[in-house]
Amino acid sequence: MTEISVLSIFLAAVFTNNILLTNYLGMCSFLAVSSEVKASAGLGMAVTFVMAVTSVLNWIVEHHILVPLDLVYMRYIVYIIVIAAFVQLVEMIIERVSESLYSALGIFLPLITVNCAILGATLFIAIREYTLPQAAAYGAGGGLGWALAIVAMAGIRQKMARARVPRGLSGAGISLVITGIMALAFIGFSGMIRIN
Amino acid sequence: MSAARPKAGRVFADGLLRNNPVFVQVLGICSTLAVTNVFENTLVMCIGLVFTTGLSNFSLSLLRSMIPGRIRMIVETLVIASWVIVFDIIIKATLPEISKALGAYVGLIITNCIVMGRAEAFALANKPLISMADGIANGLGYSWVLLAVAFVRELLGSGSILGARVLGEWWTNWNIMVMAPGGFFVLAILIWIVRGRMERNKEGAR
Amino acid sequence: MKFATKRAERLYTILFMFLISLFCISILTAVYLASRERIRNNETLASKRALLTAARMPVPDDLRTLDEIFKNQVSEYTNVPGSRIFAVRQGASSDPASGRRRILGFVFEGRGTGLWGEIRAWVGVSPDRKQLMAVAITAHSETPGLGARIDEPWFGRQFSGKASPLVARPEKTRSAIQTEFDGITGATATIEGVRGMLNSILSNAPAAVNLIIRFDADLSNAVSMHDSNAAALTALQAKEAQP
Repeated sequence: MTEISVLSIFLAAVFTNNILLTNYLGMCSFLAVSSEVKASAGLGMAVTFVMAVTSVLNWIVEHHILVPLDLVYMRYIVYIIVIAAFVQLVEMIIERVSESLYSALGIFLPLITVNCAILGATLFIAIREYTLPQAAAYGAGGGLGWALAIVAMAGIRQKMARARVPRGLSGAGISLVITGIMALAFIGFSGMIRIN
Repeated sequence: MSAARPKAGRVFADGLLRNNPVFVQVLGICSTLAVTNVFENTLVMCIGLVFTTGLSNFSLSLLRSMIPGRIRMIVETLVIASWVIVFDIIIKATLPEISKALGAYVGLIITNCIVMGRAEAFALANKPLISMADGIANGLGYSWVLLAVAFVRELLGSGSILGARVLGEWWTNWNIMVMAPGGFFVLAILIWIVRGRMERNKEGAR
Repeated sequence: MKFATKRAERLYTILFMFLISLFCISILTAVYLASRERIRNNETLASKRALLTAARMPVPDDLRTLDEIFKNQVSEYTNVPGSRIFAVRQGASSDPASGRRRILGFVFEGRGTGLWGEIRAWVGVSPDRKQLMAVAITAHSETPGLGARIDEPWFGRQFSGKASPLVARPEKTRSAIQTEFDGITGATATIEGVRGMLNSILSNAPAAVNLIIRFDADLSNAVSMHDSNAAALTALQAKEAQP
């Protein structure tokens, strides 16, 4: 089988094949939270952490539990439960261990369970039949790419606050336009990285 | 939601227009927007969404008095995921090619905010049948917007609709429409048009 | 009192969760088991149809005929490590004396790397092992509307008669040169993957076929018959071309 190198999967997940800008995943929390840089950075960090770990966890579950037991059709339920349980666990640990970290990340964790980017990354990994290192690279890169997009977006939106926008377009509309332009800019990276 | 028993007609009007999940709440575009560059795929995804919102609203409403508050979310997720799996199996058995093209996106209906949102906001407080109507109405409200986006994208991006060539050989495909940015732009323009009209209507009423 | 109700509540929560999980899982299992056969059939059917397309054979609609063709005309060889090769023969013999059937072509299993992941295909190679017959993409995870268009029929069909080293040209060039094929606009990485896959199959095909015919006398005869016919034909053509 032809192998795609781990580094190029990571870089592609951050830039050229950004999960938010090319797959539209995680739009809900993206549009809701991206009005402030600090909150965006917190959410971005939380997403990166959860996505990186759950990608690996779900890969292990897929290859060591679901496939041997012929339970692949249950994949969606099992994945979402793993993600929910992990998020819950992290929330409990952070709450006990560090108060400052909890106040920075804690409020975002419940949002993450229903963030489609996390489940999406896991499903893409399963469907593209990545190996474990590839899955880890895709999970970490995907989360980082998402964080990058939301922080950049928050920065732009803060600048936009004083701009005059047509009434029907203000809010969600203009956010989508900005995201579209960002997606265009990210396509520009494609000459730089190529998976092969 | 008003305290009085909602009527089916009103529920549909709300879901399709007045309180349309995409225009008003900008929810749940993630799972489907990615497949809107091909009209046929969008159609199947939208059917899946209507199927899931309708049936999960119905079954959660049946269970509503029994669900313990503390595990409400996980029960909702479980029921929604089950319906999505049922839909996934159905299309795998009947439309294998489209199922292959949709890949991961069918599973992503689970995390579509509309499904969970309608369960929380409506199904847990209303009777089963009207909840199902609400689910279907919101699913349809979402679908028509996404189908409109897909129509524009496939027409301009590939010169075809449902795979059949509509524009002649002279037409140069706009590749940008097929790629991700096209989806963002088309949806933004659509939201602009509809919201602008809504605001004007509001002013007119005043 | 308060303690007791709290405990009952907790017990109820656990019991409820358990029962609802059990209920959902049993329903899903039932639906899955009921449709499993059909899903598997769909998969093998699609794969077999694609294989015939790659060999430029007419593809029958009903399962019966398809099975019949696979039983009589298609034989799989697995003695080349790491690849699956099929030989496709004529249905009825054209030479009643020997009963030998002409070889129509070989189908190789191709694996390449696209933009997002692996691309799998059936690749038809002509009996002389030098040209492609057609390509049928069976699995990929490319972008819908762009790279995913490699599974459109025109794309696989255009490879008829093409030979190594393949070079991609812009879409709709429809080049008459034997080594050039039409790419897809906006899907450079995907096309590169397909090109690499096809070139490697073409360069390995003669050796792979030599390996499989070593263990199959009938196939070996069919291939050498094809080769001698072809040689005779070229000799004849050369003679006619001379003044």
